[in-house]
Amino acid sequence: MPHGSVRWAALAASFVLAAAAYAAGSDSKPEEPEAPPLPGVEAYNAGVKLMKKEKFPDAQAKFEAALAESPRMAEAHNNLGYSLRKQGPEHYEAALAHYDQAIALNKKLAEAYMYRGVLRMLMGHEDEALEDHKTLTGLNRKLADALEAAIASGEEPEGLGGLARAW
Amino acid sequence: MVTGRAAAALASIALAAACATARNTGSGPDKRPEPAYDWKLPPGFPVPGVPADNPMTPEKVELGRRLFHDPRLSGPGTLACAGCHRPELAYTDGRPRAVGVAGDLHPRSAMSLANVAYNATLGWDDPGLTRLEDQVAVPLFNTHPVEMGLAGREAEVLERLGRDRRYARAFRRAFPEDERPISLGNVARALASFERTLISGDSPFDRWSRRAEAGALGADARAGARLFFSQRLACFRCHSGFNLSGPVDDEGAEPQAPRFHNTGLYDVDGRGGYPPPDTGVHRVTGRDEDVGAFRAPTLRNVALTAPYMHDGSIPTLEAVIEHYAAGGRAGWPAGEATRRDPLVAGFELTAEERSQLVAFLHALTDDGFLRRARKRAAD
Repeated sequence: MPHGSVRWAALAASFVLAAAAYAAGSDSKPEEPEAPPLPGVEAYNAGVKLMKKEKFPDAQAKFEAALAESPRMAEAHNNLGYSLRKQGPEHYEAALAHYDQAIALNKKLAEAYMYRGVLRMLMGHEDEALEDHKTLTGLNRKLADALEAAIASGEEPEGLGGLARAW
Repeated sequence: MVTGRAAAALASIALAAACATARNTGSGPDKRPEPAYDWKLPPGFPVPGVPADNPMTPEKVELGRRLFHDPRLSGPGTLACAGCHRPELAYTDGRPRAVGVAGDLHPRSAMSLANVAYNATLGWDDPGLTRLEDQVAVPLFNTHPVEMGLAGREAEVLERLGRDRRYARAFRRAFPEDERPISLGNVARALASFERTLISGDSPFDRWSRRAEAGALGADARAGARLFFSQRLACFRCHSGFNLSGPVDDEGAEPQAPRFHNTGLYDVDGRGGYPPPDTGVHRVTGRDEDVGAFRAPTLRNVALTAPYMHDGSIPTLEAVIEHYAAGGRAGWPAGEATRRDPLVAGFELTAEERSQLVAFLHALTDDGFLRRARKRAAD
């Protein structure tokens, strides 16, 4: 038997044994090797913690660090947009650019439509905010309802709905 | 009120439904899967949840439409479902409280059927009533009060329908696998299927919100929307989501827990008590904390559904706003153990704001829905 086949046979046998133990209710589940952390995740998670504490300039720095390691991390762009927006209107344009990037990287990232919609509302662009709501109704109804209330009332939504998730 | 008779009828319909389920789950070689129903939903609307034992078909919907508008479905043959759910009034009756076929005054107001397919619970105050197939049995068989008066005349009514060749054909088409398709269970299934198609989602507010037409709302209505969704008034906390209502149920969504509210309409005991027999969810559960708790209905087409509240005791939208601005017209109970919903906390409103809020509520009228409702009744 070639060497490679021996390895696959051993692997299959260990899988069967592990599956049997699991089915029997044993606590000894097969150990999965820990995946190496994705680049930028550590900085991203640190940014989320700071965002929850409303330390937005510090959170901004962490999300920027995450993006330096993983420039295509849509969630980091989204949270960076939020951290910038919360620092005042002079940061709105920069925040908008990051929401746009988040959506360009992940067209299904509901949170990015939600918070870009809020930002567009705050910038006085109701028609564009409504476009984000229209898209969001097909992605996440709960967030769509929150955005609808925000656009209609002109008030920021409460909480961080979906933004403060650790990786 | 569900009486013993109505409960027995419900049970028989549930049994028939179970039999139908068993029959329809066969997977023989001739069994073809039902084609997906074409709901023609408004933008942003989810697909309504439908019981597995009563899938939507155009034939059932058409049969249900006929039955809904036909007075022959009542015991004496003189009152249709549409008599209390009038299409031109967004399927309400314009009365404070509904009147049955024998003149009995119902303790509660006829609810709108707009978007009834989405309601997580049905009726004003019953957390356990969740299927339209079960709900339709209540008005059909209720005896206290008598609503449509079928109780004791079931065979007579079925025979009456069976004598009409168009009905005989329509039942056969809707339930082709049944040997005897003209049955009470199938009447309930067809009515439920029809009612699920009464979907309203093209008001000026929808065009603004879901079609992103920024100009669809007039200035006053737009200002009223600002108030409705504000933290100050917080109307949207109870009349929420795409249906501007209490909890909804739709295909694939996590079930939402039922919600009911004591809005301070009455206070007979200093703790937010309501006069019997209309004590809200308490009527069903007997629990003290459920006294005065009623479901928040959809506000869609609300300008057409006066008078308001579960007993029709508030005549106009302006007066409803007055009620909520006061934190409940009965005044805030003095007792600490109040049953009043804390969301009904009251707010201040100028005369201009009041008229803006009314303008917003008028912008929830869906003219296309009403046109279709009239057409359904006339066909």
